[in-house]
Amino acid sequence: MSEHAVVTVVDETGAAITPTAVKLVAGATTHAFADVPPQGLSLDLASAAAGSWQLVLELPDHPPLPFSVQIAGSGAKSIAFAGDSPRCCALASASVTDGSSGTRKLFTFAFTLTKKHTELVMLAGWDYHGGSDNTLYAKTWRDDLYAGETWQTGKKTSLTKRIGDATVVTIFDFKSGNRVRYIKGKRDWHVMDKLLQGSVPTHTAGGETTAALQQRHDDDSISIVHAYRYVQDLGVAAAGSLQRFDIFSHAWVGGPIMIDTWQAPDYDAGGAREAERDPGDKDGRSKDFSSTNMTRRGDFKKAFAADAVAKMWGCQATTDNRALVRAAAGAKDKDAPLSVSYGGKTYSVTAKQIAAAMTKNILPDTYMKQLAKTVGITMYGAPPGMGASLRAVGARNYMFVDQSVYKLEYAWYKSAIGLTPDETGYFPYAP
Amino acid sequence: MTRPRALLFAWVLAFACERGHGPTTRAPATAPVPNTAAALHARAQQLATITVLDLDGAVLGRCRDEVVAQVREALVAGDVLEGLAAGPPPWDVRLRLQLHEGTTFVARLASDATVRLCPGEHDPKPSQTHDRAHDGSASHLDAGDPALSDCTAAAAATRGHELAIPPALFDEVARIVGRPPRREYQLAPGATNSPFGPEVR
Repeated sequence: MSEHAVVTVVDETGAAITPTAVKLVAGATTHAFADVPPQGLSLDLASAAAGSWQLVLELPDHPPLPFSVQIAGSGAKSIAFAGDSPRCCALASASVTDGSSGTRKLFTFAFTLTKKHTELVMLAGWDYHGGSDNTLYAKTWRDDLYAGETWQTGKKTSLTKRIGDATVVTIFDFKSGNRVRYIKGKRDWHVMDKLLQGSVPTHTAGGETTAALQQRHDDDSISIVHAYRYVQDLGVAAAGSLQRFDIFSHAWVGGPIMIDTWQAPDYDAGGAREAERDPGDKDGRSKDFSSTNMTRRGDFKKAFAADAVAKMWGCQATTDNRALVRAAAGAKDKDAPLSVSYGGKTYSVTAKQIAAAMTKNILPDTYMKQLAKTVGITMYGAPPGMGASLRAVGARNYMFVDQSVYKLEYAWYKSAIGLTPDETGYFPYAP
Repeated sequence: MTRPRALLFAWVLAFACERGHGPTTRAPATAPVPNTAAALHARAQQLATITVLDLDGAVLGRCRDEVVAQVREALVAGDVLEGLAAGPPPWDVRLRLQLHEGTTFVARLASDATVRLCPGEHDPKPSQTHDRAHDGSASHLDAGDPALSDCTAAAAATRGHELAIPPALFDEVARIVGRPPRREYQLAPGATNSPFGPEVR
């Protein structure tokens, strides 16, 4: 008796989707499925050694979809999903007999996917100070977006469900250096694949010593550029598929801090190559979206769905910005000169001029505004001058900006600039 | 002596002996005040001094009275916060907040807008506790208190232990510490552009 893996794919209406290819892949070894009447797209498992494999589906308007499977047995083979089985696939085995081929055992993977691919990308920065696992925030958000409910405000509220049984959720973990792709499992989440970004994991030892910072800069380890490239490739393979782009990390006025690299002097403010991204820098910067630094801006933009949303959940706690806002908020006469310190210099400005500076310069220079303009979607982020806090509701973990801490600042933003936060305290940076 | 007089005498003697034991009255045992945000918030009106210490307990400086007044006002008006600051504390310092009647609290800066009090965190120099006792003041914490807890790492254990602080305290600590704040609180290093436009110099 021989054993065969068989794959069928239908979309959400039940209409058949014909894959362009189906493969079993392990490292450099690939076995391609072929159409074998009458059983269909299938592979004789005799050619595949026991062990871990990826069952890769290549479908029109989808990126390649890998599923983790395990082949067991040395004589008679069997194949099953590794870990939690995906909800989008029913796996059944049956023996069939025909005169010429004898008896065959068929392991049929019956996938129900969607005609149009959907995906979310989340970045979890390394908590280089606190030791937290920021993937917990990403996973909580993933779970909420599947369930259609959240406790992000501390109480249960409904949430637009952006994740279905066939939606891929990709998490870039900047502490381990891995990119992990998930799809909803029968009990939890099926791990589709896990791939180290770069050639070495993030160097997390040494604190903020000069040597440690230099090694993080020089290592070929995970960078925000890997995430940008992933989104660009998604734009080519499945335009309009990206539903959300979320970043859970420390952040500053310059952008999200993924592993805390500093730019080499030439690339830093005032340097000869200030406009360019430092190749060793792993963090996100407002300048990332210029045509100089993102040559595939078109592909990056194409990846996003028309109603996609992005959000940076970290801080924008720049002291000088907070001081400016508080000075303006406290001014009784909006035309009276105030003495403010900014960037180490002292200025005499009015509250009206502070509002103008915020509107014309400070807000537009943020990472959120630059991404929003590039993609044409709204990116949410903390207001300039405010830090983010952490909230746990049972086993769920959220980042938020505490509106009770920044009452004065929020009131000023609303009255002077017309900005109001979402339910978790973040401002919408519209394109 | 008649029996009633003997009994009266015995009672008087017993009473006198009782009163003869020092202290002259037995003060009710007071429960130690926990080093928590809730406890500080409940006593905020009594805030008298704020001292800035390094992590070894050495005194770096003392906040000016006008800053303490602002902090007192903010603590009274505010409430215990639920979250933890996602960003790191700007400097590795501790704050000793002392009330008029002598009780002290130990807090860490959690962000530029919050302080965190960790239950069980003890005064960094137990010997000073005894010295202050001689002064008539007293810490509510004994030298034998539990070892210092790491608020940053034990996130789940320390939620609900933060209080909002006014910017004046953050700025005062910056003045005392004399060091630039961490990256999260800074503008881009080397940035020289004014956000106000050319009309403002």
